[in-house]
Amino acid sequence: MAYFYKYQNNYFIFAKDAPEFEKEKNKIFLFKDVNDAKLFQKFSGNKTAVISSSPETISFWTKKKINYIINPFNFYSVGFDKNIFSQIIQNKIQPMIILDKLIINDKDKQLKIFKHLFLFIKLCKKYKLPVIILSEDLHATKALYHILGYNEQQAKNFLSGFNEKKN
Amino acid sequence: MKKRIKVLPKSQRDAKRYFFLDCNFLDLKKIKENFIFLFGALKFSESGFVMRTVDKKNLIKINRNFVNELIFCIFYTKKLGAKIKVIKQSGTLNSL
Repeated sequence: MAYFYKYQNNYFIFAKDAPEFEKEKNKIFLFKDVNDAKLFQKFSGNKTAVISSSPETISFWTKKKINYIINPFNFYSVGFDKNIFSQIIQNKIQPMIILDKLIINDKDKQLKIFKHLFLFIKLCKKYKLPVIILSEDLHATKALYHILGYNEQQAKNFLSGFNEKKN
Repeated sequence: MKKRIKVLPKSQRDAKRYFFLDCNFLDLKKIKENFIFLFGALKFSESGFVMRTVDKKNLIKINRNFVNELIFCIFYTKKLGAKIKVIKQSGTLNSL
């Protein structure tokens, strides 16, 4: 079965692969670009997320009130402007970082990704937006929360928010 | 009135100041390299931290201020395929 990511019992699945996962309970359906819009109707009652680094695409899906935006940057991304951020806040969309998917084997690009990650978190803090960070290594997740300036309790709250919604 | 200052034994003072991480299959050079790459470039100067091996060569000693960066760096190094197994660490993140 081809899934994008698995965290505990939660499967992150691209919407087109949904039929393969019919039996699984905890699913988050992923949408990549605007061409996926025709699939969206089918999944509107489920947990949904956009995975894209393009502000235009993110803006498009934000208006559809998906639940999460995942890794909304890339090594070449241009960053966020205030308008997209206010859309995210207004539509109660939660940013989510899947850490394992941000590690790449190219030092220059890697550094750019991390710079974008730090800038993005800075904006989230400014607008008091909780950020869910997921990783297969819980120590690394906690360490990153600390590095980004969150304390243990905040980290726990952000993560428990995600787990509750799923159960 | 004279104030009594409690002085901790040297070993305890050291333990509080530093964080120890006991690893297996450790490539310290690689971790150090990645540490400087990730955090030297993003945040700190190279001289801002001390990271060295103690006693046995698979034990890392690092200033506590940088322990989260070290843990993150080990995660990063592992993700890139290095075989590292953390056996024991001197404190949990909760107790930092």
